[in-house]
Amino acid sequence: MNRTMKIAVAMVAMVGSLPALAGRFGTACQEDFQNGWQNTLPYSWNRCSGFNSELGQTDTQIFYWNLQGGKYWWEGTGDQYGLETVNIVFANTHGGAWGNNSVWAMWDQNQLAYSGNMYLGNESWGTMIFSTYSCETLKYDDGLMWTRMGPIFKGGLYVATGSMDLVWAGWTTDDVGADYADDLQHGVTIKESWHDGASDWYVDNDLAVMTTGTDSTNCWNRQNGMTWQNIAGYTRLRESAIGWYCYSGWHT
Amino acid sequence: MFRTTILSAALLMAGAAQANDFPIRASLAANARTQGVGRPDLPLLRVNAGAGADRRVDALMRKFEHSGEAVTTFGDARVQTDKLKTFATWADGRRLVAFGDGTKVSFRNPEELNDAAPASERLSNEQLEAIGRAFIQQQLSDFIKLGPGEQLVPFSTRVEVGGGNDVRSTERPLEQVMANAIVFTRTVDGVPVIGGGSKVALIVTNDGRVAGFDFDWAEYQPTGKRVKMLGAVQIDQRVKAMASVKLDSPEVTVKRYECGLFDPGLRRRDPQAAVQGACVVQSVEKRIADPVAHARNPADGHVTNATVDVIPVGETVVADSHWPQAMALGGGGAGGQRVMPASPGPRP
Repeated sequence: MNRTMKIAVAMVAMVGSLPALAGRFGTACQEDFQNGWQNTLPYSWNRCSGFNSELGQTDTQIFYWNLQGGKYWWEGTGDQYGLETVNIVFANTHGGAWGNNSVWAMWDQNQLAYSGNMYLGNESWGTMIFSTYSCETLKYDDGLMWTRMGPIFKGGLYVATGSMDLVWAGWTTDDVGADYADDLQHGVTIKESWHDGASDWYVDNDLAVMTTGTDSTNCWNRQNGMTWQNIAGYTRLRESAIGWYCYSGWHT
Repeated sequence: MFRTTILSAALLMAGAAQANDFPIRASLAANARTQGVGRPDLPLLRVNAGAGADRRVDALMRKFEHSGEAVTTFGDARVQTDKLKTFATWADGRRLVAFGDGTKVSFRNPEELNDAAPASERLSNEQLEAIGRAFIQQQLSDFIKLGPGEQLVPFSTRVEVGGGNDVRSTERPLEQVMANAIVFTRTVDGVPVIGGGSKVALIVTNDGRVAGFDFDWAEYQPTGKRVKMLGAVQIDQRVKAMASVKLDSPEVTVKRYECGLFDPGLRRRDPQAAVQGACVVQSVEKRIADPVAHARNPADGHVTNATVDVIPVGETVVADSHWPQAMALGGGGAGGQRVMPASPGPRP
């Protein structure tokens, strides 16, 4: 067995393993965009660096990358060299949703990561939590949430956190990443960590959390019970083992 | 044609009240663009520091230790303190956190927040106001204090919904209400405080019990100074000049445009600065990101940019080291430049 093969086998064995002692995390943020193809996203670096500083006190930071060339390591098999190398991803970029896809804007002009091309949880360390401070990517009011996000979850992802409509960017929301990480560190459920960390009571962030289960009860038990500390104790559900999806949303 | 264009521009810029806004917020949506803060001048207010997070947690633990209601600190708690906060946690998931000087507090009892109700049974604004006022009056009056000329007023409500479905189903999920929330703000001589400060939020179960609360509530102290406010036209000019997006672009929709006394809250406040007049503008711009999808359906193919800007609107502005626009206008020395963290590089 050559060295590459040995590494590949070791990586496969790691999938679904506990984030023992310290979990692995990565952050992916973009503030400016090539040739201004998207609006500058104010304070994006602050959101990621705040997450890094806070979670880095107890866990292991694997990457802090911008989204130049990001499509490669978000989609397809390239994700094993990017998103899949950590247990939790926190990202901040512009987002959208239509038809069969949720999308995240990359730095590169006209480049989007499409949910239909993503499949998380099956390679390398196997992403467990995919958190994006981006508009619309967990849109559910058109009944197409599973159509859009199902391809990602089928790889074994446990939970996605994001927004079904709008999340606001400005200096008053620059500490979203730090607050989210702080709650995660202190054993608050992932669902409530997202709600508490990514919101205040003035700007009306529309926040959503999505999980899967074998059935409705299982899905809600997972969503209401999973924490950063206990998540690996839950069974990783892939493909046909997933019978149900469920979401929570906070709005006006 | 000219009249139509002017009217359209005004509507785009006005912001709009939302369904669950209380009258004070609805009046901001209706009047802020044309009347600014609604006063020729506003007081400059100092914020009194609280007694400390540990003392605040002690006081709340004592207050609720014998409560048999959903907000209770009964039982053994693990209390810890770090550089930012003091927090108490219970084995059943309850948590009480006080930040910084203790003026920002959060309590949750998650076990009380897992019962769903049909979406049609969302509690009304009137029900939530009555529940909220009673709780604040009876349980939080030691912590939510009002100074001369100040009032507690309902501001908005929010709801937590839940839904889901069999992954093989193509039907739209049935959505249920998981929890309700009401937000109160403070007015000072009738002028609302906007921003994250001066807010009390109560999390209410579907059967009307308070199961959590957040407040960011410091005492204000008049400085004796008043600052002349810009008129609506000058405010409009300053807002357009300093906003991070082009607000009069046809692609931009202003969702909220609110003016009043601005308090960013404990975590973002410069303790040496003052609460002063400002307008908060929340705007949305959709840009085409997938031209192919957009060509198939003009409603598709966009990504969304949602921006919040806070612009001081006094004729003179007090510098605030945490607030870029107040630094730029207030001669703060740093030229309004933010402190940049290390930016990330590309994946190697």
